Amino acid sequence: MNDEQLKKEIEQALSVAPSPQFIARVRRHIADEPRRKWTHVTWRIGTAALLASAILLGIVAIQPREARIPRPVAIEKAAPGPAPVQVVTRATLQKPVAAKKAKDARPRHAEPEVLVDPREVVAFQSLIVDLEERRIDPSQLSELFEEVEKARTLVEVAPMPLAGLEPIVIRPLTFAVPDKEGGSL
Amino acid sequence: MNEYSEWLTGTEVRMARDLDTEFEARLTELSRLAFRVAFGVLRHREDAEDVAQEALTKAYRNFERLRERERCRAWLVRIAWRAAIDHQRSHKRRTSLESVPLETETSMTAADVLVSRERSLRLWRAIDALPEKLRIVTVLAGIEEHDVREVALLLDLPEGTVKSRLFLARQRLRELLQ
Repeated sequence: MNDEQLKKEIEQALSVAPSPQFIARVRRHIADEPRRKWTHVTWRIGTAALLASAILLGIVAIQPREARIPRPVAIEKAAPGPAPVQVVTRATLQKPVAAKKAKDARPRHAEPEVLVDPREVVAFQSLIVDLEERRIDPSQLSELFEEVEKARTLVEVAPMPLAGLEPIVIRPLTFAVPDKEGGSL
Repeated sequence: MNEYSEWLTGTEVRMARDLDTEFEARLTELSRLAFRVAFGVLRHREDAEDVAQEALTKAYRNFERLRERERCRAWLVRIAWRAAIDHQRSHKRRTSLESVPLETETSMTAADVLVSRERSLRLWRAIDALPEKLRIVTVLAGIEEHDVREVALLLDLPEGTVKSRLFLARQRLRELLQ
């Protein structure tokens, strides 16, 4: 038997057809299959959406936050008096005010509020009260401020350049030689 | 969000419909291939149909990544062959004269039919005696319209390897059939 004869015999042995109902049975079986699940597709889309959201959140989170403007400290009254609790700023100090107006709550200024030490606030309030009661002459205040400025400049000493410093010389110690031998130390 | 889910559902439905249409168009070709591969191992029509049906169902489930023709056919051959081998081992059905179907011509006498059956049985026993690598190339090459190139594509082997294995298989079959 040569190759060709053998090949024909094998082909004949395999030339069996399936039953006529076979393909119909396969179609029915496939039709009963559960619906295709695209979970992997939706999963990918969902994952991509989550990643994008996470990246956006991360970008927003690492943005530098704006410096918070500290709220003014609520000041308690140090001494019994008509002065109400209020925020004191430089603008209010420069303008002497009437006693009645000083008692009213002041509207906030447009400029930003500055945190002030409560002791300073008490001092300023006292100053205002003194001014209102004319215990202090307002015209003398400007001179006072000028002197304060001068004192600050006096305190601020310009640093000396290193080149201006004299070198420190350390001289060796010398001891006087005693006249006598075995002199006392 | 509702619009998104609706869009997604609509896309899924369209994709599923396209895949089903494509699979249906190739079902006849694939079913014939799966059956003949299974029959090449089992030589029992009903068993071969059962195994081929299982293989085709698996191909349907995975058709999304098997849409390329050669890839699908190669995958189906591997699945059908493996399923047929497993079925043969689990059922251990002996090949008897009655179980070997034979396409007979109307002009054949009963004696001729018997002789044909006997020859087929001997041939199948000889093919079963081959090592698996030689057996699969013999069966695939014996299926009509499968030349060496087609067998090489189905098994993802070089053509030279298929040729040499076919040569060896036929040589051994001749020895066994003498």
